[in-house]
Amino acid sequence: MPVQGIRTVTAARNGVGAFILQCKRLDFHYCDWAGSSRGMVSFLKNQLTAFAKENPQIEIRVSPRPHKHPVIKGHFINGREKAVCVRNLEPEQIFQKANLLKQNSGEKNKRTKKPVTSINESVRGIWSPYHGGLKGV
Amino acid sequence: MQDLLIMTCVRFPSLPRQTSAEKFRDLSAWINRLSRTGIRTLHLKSIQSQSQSWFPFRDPIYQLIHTFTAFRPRASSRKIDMAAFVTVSKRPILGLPFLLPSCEPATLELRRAQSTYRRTKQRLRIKPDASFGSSSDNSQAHIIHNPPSSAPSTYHTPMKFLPPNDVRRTLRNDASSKSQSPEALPSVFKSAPERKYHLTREDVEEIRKLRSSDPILWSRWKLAKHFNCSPIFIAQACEASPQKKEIQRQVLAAVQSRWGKTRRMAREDRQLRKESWGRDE
Amino acid sequence: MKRLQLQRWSSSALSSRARTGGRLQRHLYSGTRLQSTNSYSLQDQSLGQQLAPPSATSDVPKFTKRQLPSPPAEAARESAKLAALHARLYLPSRLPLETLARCLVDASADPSAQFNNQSLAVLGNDLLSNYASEHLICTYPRLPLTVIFAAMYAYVGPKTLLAMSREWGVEHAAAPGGEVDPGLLQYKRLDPGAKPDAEPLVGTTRPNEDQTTWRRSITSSVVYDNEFGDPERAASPPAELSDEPFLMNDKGPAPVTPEAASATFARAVMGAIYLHAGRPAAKRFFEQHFLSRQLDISKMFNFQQPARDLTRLCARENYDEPVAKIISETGRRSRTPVFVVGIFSGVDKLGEGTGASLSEARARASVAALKGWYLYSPLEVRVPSAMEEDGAAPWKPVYVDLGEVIV
Repeated sequence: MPVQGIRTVTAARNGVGAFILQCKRLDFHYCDWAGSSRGMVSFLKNQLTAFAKENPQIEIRVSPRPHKHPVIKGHFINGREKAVCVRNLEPEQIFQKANLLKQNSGEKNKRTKKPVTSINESVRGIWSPYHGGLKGV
Repeated sequence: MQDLLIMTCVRFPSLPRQTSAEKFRDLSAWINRLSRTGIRTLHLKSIQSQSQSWFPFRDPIYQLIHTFTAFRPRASSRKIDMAAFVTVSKRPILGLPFLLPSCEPATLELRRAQSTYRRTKQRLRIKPDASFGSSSDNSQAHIIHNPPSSAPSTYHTPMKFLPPNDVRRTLRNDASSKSQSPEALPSVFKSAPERKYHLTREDVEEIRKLRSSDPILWSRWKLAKHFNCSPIFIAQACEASPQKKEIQRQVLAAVQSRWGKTRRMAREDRQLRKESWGRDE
Repeated sequence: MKRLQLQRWSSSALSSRARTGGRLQRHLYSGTRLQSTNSYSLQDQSLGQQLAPPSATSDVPKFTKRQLPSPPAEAARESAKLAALHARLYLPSRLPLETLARCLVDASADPSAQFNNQSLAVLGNDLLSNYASEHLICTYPRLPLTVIFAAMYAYVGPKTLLAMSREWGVEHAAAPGGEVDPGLLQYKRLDPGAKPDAEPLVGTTRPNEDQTTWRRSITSSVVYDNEFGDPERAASPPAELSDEPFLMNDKGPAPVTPEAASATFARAVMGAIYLHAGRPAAKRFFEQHFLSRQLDISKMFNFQQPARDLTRLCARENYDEPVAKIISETGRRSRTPVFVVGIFSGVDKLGEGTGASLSEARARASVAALKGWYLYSPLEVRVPSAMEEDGAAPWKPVYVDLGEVIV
């Protein structure tokens, strides 16, 4: 057999073809009694329906957590979860926090040093000392 | 890299015809690509000397390729007035407003000045290349092509491997593929293998008979020397008997049994390295 | 080409619960199984035979969800996970949630062919391999067959489909059952430590499969093996697909790996899109989710003797014999020499490579030259399925190559 094929797996490039939203589930926890949940309860009553309708890709769960501060938990496709405590926040601020989780990739926050990272091969290739502008001695 | 350029051009066949605003945007991306493929500078003076079309490649973009490939080295290129060049290398859109004749004086100020002398010099410091020479006629626009200092990509099909009806065959610059003449280069092997084709059918029969008669005495090397051919040909002509193979295997095992850990590992590593050549790792 | 009326066919993919009509029929057959489907032929069979098992004779509530092997169809409308998955994949609205729920039920969870995704997966697999192979063959017409198999495996192989279903956010159920959320992938898991491929595959389409020492050529695997060049179990005749109701107390089917279950799910989604939304939607789905993934084909070659192959290639194509020449070198007598060797045929350079020895540089240069041959790609690539669109330009024959080098 002169040549054999090496089996590999194609690498995903989210957004090149289809874009898959990385946030797959949002859990809203609230308390009926505590004052820190007042904004959260108002958010759940008034804005959550519109938020869920806007983002059908996200599964939304609402559950009480008595005697605790209200929390939004985002579950992401990479298996990680991120929780944001929203105690004493206004509904608009809670909406912003929910948006933050929705737009998140789920990865750990890290500093990006290069504006663009790509898995594509460089157009001009990898620099090699033996090519380009060689001078005869 | 030329393939990329050609592909770019083929994809946007009607691109440089209009000078309208949205085409301009396309063009900037296009120039961007040009600069990435290795075209560093455009000869502005000659571009403007063309009629009112701001770019010399008016009709199908193949003309661009034509100008690109038809470029010939010019002797006095080192003395070219530097003002006539617009560097497109790192800030490709930089020189673009120049190219539009309608807004020539107005957009002159739009060009971002290099803030330091060093940066200006850096932009203009281009490695000299064979294609920097003079073209046969000065009036024709030409593009200076500076190839990247990297190993050629395997996706770049060599000229010889292109099918006869492929358009790249006519478009590709012949200078790049024939820049090195193979006759002047030294060979990898000290002597070229000479092929004699002197053995006849009877000789081959003789080889087989000898090898089967006494495989210990008539080894491959000995047969090759006797018949004045290569041992590979002996291997192609006949096969050793199973007994001889078994003996040889035992000899090899006896030799290998005396190898220590270091030597054995070194041999295995060498074999693994050899296998990695074929995977191009 | 006239568009087929797929909507009419696709109704058979839904169970009767999801369909609007057939109330009488539903009333009649709700006794046999809670989620009983669609087959009209059931009417011809005697009801008495259907109701013969004592557990099935009584009323509907006799069956609880826990007794069913897979969730009933009406649960699909209530699952938030399922709706979220539908929206996340941008599936067409004509594809109902019930079909997506059916795509998530593997044959190892529910052996009944009317409720699992087996039929959809067969259709989807054919579509996937068709689109992927036509893309590969038209884009790189000179690729050797082994590399085509490997590239097919990379585009639509089970490992890729497993990764994709993970990237789609599909979660796996711990165990299948009627009470499980229909948004979870349901299959019967292997026991820990069990090896799925322990015994060799028997019952393939290849003749003389018991002769293990016989040579199996690559060309024969086009005929006998699947699209990845692997041996394939022969398709079972449709008579074996039983229509009988299946309950949890029966002896279950064989368990499968997560990889196999995810691959079947992804294929079934493709088949379901084709069935409900038609060919253009299916092709768009393929291009957006499968073809958009990155694959470097130049890294998929493994040459055994590249220099010999290149010589054979040049002899076949009537080129001059390839000659290796040293383009540049440094440190020949040192501990770390570097040679740059180019392979020339006549005056044309075919490829070049660097190495620490002359033989290594020559081998790498030969590999580069061979890849330059095999990776040829025409400029304007059109695939045959582009002709299925309305108002497509007349078909121009694609470039067809002689084939790989035979040594």
